[in-house]
Amino acid sequence: MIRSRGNASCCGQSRCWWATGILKRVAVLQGVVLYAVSPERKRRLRRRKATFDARGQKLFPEYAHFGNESYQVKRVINCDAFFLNVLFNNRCRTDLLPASGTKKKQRKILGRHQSRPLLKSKYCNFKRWNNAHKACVKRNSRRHFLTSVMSSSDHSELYSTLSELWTLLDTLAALPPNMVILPPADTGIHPPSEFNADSARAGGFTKEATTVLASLPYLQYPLEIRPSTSSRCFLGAELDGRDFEETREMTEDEPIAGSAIVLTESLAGVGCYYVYDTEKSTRSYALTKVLR
Amino acid sequence: MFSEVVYPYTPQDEPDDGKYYDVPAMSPREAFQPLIDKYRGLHYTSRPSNAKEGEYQLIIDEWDVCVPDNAPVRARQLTEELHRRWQYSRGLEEIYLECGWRPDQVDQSAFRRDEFLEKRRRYLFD
Repeated sequence: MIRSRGNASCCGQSRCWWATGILKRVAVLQGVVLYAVSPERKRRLRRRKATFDARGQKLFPEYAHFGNESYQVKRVINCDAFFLNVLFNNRCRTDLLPASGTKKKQRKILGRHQSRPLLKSKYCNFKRWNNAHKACVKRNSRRHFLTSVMSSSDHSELYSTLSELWTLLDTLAALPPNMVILPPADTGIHPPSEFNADSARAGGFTKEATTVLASLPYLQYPLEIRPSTSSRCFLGAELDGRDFEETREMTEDEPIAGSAIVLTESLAGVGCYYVYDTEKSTRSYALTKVLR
Repeated sequence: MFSEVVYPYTPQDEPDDGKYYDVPAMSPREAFQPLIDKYRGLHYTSRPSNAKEGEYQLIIDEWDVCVPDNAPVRARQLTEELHRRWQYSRGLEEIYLECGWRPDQVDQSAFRRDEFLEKRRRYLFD
């Protein structure tokens, strides 16, 4: 599985924070270690610490809730978020940089890590890491840092899942070379020469959906990724509004809501459309579901 | 409860007036993990689709090709073609495993990709 310093901080409980994919993502997002807790322990600990949900909102005194399960927020880690992110997304996002630690310390930790070649890749930029770290220290507030991380990291589960899938296909040599297009590591979005945001807006996508489209990993051209289902690529400066509008039409001629992105195409109607709804992914939606 | 929502919508499986949002919502990880597992477990291994031009692997499985009942000759050809592909997929799977692919693991650093490419080229074209 994922190797990282997180292994060492595992408390010996059988269900630690990387037990599920969702928790993995939460740990990546927040830099927070979460542990499953039993109901009676939960009662005992009720008033001790604060808890953040996946979007950084303080929810209940000390618990994060995912489905029916409760997780206690144990402590904040710094480098693991970075490592997991590099391993998972294969790139370093500037908004997930460690909040503390000197460059020397960072190098030391990196040296211990086993996936050194990966970390030395073009996705890892020590200079930017250090600058972002300084900015974080300036803010001088862990809470502030966490909140800023949270608000800028929406849709990251989709990014990490898709890039994992495309990277896996590439590793399997199932694709022609240079087929996977990840967004540039420094900006996180495809440049205007590759992605035409105006056309996407003209095609009826909402502003948020356009942002998501601009930062997704893509395959260069459509390929069948499961029976009768092909991938989709929204890149191309020459695409016009009509092209984008067509991607929102599934079985009917009427396009679906502009907040939804159809990630795959169903061939001959027997395949599967994966529809990603950005509207339902916003903080308010997550919160209403939690508080209900 | 998910903060990110994917609907895997298969029109054929839905009633006529079903909308995509009637499908149970999943997190992106839940929606795509079965696919990732299938690739990682080498279930979608088959012969390269355009073996003559390119060198890449076919990533679809084609076991549900419909065979017309009234064309026995065509049916036999199709069956032979499918059997040939099945043999190729077995062979490729073996090569993957020989070169250190581990179907049940995320970390594939032991996979010798160059060796695999060379072996696959020899297996398919020589």
